[in-house]
Amino acid sequence: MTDITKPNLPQADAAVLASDKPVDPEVKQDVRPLVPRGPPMHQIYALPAPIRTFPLPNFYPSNPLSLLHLIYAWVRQTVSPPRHEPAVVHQGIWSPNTRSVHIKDPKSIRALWEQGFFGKGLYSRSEPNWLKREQARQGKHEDHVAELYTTQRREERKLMKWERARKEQEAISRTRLQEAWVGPVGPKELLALPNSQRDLQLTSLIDLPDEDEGILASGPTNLTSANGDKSEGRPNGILMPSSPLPDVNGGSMIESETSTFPTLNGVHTGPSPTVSGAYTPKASPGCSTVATKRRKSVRFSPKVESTTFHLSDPPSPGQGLQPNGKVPNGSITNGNSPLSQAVADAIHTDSLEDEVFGNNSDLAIEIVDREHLQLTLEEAFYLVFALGVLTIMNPVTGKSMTAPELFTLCRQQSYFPPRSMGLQPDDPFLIQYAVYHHFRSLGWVVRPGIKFGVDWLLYNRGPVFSHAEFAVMVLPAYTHDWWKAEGRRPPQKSWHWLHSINRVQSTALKTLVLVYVDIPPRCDEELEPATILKQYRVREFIVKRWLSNRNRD
Amino acid sequence: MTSSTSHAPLRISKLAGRYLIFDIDDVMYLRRNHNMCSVFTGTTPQNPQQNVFMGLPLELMPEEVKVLVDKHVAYVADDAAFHPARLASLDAPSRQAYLQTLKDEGRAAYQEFVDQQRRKPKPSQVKAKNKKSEPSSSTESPRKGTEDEEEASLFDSSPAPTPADPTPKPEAEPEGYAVTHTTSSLLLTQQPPHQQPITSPIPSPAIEVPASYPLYAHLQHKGYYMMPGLRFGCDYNVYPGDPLRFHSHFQATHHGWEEEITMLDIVAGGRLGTGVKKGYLLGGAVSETHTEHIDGNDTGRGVDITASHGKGGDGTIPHVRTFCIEWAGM
Amino acid sequence: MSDSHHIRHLVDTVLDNLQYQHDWTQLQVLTHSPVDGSPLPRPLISGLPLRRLYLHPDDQLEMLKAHPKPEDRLPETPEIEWVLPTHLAEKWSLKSFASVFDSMPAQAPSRPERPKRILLATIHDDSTIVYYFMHDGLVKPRQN
Repeated sequence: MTDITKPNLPQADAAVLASDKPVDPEVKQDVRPLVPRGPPMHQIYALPAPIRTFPLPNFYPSNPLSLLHLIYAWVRQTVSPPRHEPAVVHQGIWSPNTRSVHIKDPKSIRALWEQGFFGKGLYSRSEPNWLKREQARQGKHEDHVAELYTTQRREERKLMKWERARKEQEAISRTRLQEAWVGPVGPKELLALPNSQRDLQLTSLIDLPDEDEGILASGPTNLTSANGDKSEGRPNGILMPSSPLPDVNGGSMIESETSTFPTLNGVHTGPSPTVSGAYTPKASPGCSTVATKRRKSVRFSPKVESTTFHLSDPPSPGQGLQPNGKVPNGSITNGNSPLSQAVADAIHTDSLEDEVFGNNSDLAIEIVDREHLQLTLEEAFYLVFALGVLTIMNPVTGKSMTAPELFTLCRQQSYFPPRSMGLQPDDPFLIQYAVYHHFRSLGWVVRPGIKFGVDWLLYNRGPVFSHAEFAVMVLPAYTHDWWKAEGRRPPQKSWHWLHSINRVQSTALKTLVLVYVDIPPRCDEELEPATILKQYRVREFIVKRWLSNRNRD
Repeated sequence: MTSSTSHAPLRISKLAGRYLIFDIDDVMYLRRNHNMCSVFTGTTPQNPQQNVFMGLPLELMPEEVKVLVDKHVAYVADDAAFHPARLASLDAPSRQAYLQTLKDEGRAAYQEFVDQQRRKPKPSQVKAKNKKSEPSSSTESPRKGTEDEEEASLFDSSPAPTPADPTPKPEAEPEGYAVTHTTSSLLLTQQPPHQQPITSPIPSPAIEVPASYPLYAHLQHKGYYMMPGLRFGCDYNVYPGDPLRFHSHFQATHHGWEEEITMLDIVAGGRLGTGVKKGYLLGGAVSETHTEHIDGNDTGRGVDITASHGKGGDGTIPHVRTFCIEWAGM
Repeated sequence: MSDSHHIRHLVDTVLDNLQYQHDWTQLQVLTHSPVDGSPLPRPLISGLPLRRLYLHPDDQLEMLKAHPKPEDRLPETPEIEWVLPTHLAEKWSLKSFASVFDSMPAQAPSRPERPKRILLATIHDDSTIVYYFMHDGLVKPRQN
């Protein structure tokens, strides 16, 4: 909590993990500062791409000194020109098994990640930090990685949800108790409502002697009109037991509730047959065949609270983590002692298991870094073709691939299973790459959007700085006359498909962009990649749901 | 469902390709006995912008209509054709009775208007105008006397209606307002004996259902309540009970048995469902070839499927398989 | 032939991910149905996750009754899960999913009436693997 404790915290945590000491909840809670140490982020991620540029300084007519600066820079670059860019060419290996490119050199991994956020760590959510995580888990490392926080947070959330579920169940029981006597709401019962339950029973016993049997056999005969069912008091085994009316209240309700609560699959924790014979929605699946005719009474689901969402809520429970390993809004952890304690336990078991693997943590010091940076076809080709900062080795021939070779390979591999012939102008790779290149060229950080059900996510500066602002869905458009003559149509998507995609984005506070790629007619396959790619046109459409009552301004 | 026999078949009006129910009792009956809620589409003519709380008529999905018709719970009447035909075929007494009902309703509406006016204090400058209209209205009306009295008492006690009133005094309508019925219900109530024969023998017009019908029928048969799911990105929003009491369990999307499903769409659907604590449900009818395959190859498995998918007494429920998708939390 | 190679690669990728990113144990690849020994439409992976991944809502209710106090550590014995490796670029169909479920053994012996479930693993080229549960039939969603 204080600045003094912060630097030591990771160590404290490590000690906790390695030993059986009971954990001070205070410490546990402090373990999660995500403030990175070392150079500030804007320095680490200063370069937007893995190349450097040397532009001449601007000349401002109002400021004569800027002319001097300009001349100085020009002279300097002329006399001793900067190194030819790209100064560093990284080395990647084509992996046919995963149809991707692997970067194994740690320096290259850092460079490609920090300069433009290319690729993804094999075992990490985005930034490759598996080794760090493994070391941290063994208490060998001071650093903490996002994945560990995720685990910890999820553990806490799980406990919280458990607690919430328990409360919901209590609420259900309570509602049922209430309904047991609120159920009959005929005029007389209504009159009796302000009084005690006892009064209610007395009223029905004394004033409505004729209806007594009806109440016992088939429940309240005059239920709330909204749900009243015209069933004649049909005996339905379970309900019939001749429980005397007074039992309608209190204890017996609980009993009946417990006995029927575990319902069949697919059945909501539905209203169970109660002693008063009140209701089981005859519609409740699974039950419907057994007891078709039961009464319903109005009952409110206790889950109203849990399905109300705010815009700021994470898109789904426990799923609030973005690819950059951050939570969109503060996670709902309250760090009170039982929770934190359990979390500590859970993490501790993790580390114990590790020690089982490694036997001795001293031996495990040298964890082999199994992780590499993995580039998608589009990323790899962009780095090779557009930036020229990557060469890719073919593991079969042991030689580097030229851009045209890689181009053909990517197109072949973009099918599942890959095809070696019959490449088309609408190869998945061509369509996707056109979009990838388009947005990269405009300065966006483009990363795969599979987790959000879209093709790409667009980050303004990068995942470590902010969440993706736009979610890109790529759609082929066969607008050229050649395709029209062919009768080619894009895959038909339904309206509810569009709604579903858009809803996913809006819950994650992203804007959906439909990107249409106009596909050129078939052309000579021997053309250069640049020539082929130039023929593709990209059109963007932002889709937003418009709600009359929310979009007034 | 057994209860269907105890109820006279419902009349579903088909108008402009939409299936509508105008009777609130029918709406309630469907909701209670056939787990159908559907969507109210009616708005008030005086306030058409009000589109949050809709009223009658209820618009049924074609799937719902088909289920009801197949169960002989309802029949479809082409109202556009029915109405003129019915009017033309009325015999003299019923025609007279029909006209009389219209008149009575018109008078009642007028009476209502007058009563309302009486309750409102009005600026007095319009008095003269209303006086003028009075004589003409007093010529033929059978209830002229009462009306005159009311008018008189109205003017004695309180000022006349404003000139800005959208429905000025009915100069040409001495008998009250001319009422245009929006439904054929009047014609229907006069022919209860005729209704019975209409139901079963006369075939309802063919109902065009979307491809997702088998999935709907399957879930309907299992007792779920289905609401249109377009807003939520699916075919049906599936409720385990009355939607007033339960949150929906599934977002159901139909697919053909061998229709290609993009994995990205499954991921998106799963995420969509999980975000709102619902299951994302894929389902569709098993094609014939597959059924044969199962029966021929593995009888035990076939039995299993029949059991788990609950074939009811009604043999018309298509064989459907469903898959639910939830986030795994990994 | 190349087809089966590719599926084999998918299986390897998911297996590797389960082992190293999610710390699963007892990992096994099944190529033949344990039901009747016929070849599976696609190899399945079975393994034991570190924690319990799925708790049916009905079971949760029972457990809530058994452990009413919040201080009670919730029992979390992991269960063996079956994983179906798929690739994002693939197209599946109801039919192909059905064939996978049909070749699987019934759920846990203790709960034979429960519909079968698989863990659907979908791989993307950037090594992202998304995991979703898929149930064979109508299974009410978990609420928490």
